[in-house]
Amino acid sequence: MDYTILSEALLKSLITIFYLALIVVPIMVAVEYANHFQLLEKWASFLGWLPRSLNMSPQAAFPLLVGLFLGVLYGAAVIIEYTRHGTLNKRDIMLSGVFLAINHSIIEDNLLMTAVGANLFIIFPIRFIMAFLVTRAAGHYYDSKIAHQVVGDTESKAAN
Amino acid sequence: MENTSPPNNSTILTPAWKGTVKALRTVLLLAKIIIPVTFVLVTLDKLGWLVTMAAFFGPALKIFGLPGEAALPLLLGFFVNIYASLGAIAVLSFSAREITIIALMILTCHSLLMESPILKFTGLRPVSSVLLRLAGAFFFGFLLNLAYLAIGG
Repeated sequence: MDYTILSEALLKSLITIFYLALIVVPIMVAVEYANHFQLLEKWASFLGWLPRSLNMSPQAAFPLLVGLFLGVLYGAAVIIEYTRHGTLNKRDIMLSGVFLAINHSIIEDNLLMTAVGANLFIIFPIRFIMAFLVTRAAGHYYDSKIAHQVVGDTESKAAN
Repeated sequence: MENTSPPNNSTILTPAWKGTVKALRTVLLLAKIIIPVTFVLVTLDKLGWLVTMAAFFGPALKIFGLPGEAALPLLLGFFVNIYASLGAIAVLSFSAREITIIALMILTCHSLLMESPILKFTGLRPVSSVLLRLAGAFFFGFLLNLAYLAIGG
């Protein structure tokens, strides 16, 4: 057994884990306080510009915000709940899925990558802008597909 | 004591306590992933297999301005999760520019096996979300490398 491998691997992983703990603990504490004071609910009202600029209905603000700050799992949970209550339409659900697929848990993920040496001022804005553009494109695609379907339906009805 | 107190007795410090416990649980989870990944990578490195792997992936990764070794954090990130790729980035030595490109690609596309079923609930089929994220990662990595080349960073 080569003990140098064992000790080197252990030392390296402990250093990595220590740096990650330095980031994860304050984030989780901040998230708990945000939940405690229900900050996301309060912010959702004046973060209406996000769904608006993504060409989505304003009701999508809260699920987007939850997904952005807490991650896809929580975002999807809110989306499922909203779907059950009929608050979101099919288009909004699909587009929030596209946006969150690319851009989610923006605080934790970006800081973890920064901890191992990535440039935060490059990865954060690029990912955000790209998710924005892809979602706009998906919206256009969805709308054109729906338009075709409507035309197709009326044509088939006319044929009947 | 504090941790057994009912919720209506919660003080201003309760969120801090809850957050710390959750965070330490996450760190424990990370440790379970990062320690074995680091161990395997250090062993592969000592056996000289990393060099062979790097030579194999080298040509393909030139598109993103990355060395062949970058295949490891990328594949670990895409299919396992961000934490496994963090272990790989920490063990292998990359420049700040390379880490930023790898980070952008992994942030766009990660934990596919775990997140794709979750994204299904948003009406995005797993096939679509996987293709969207993989294509996105490759495209963004390609663009960021071009941008770096343009400014000469």
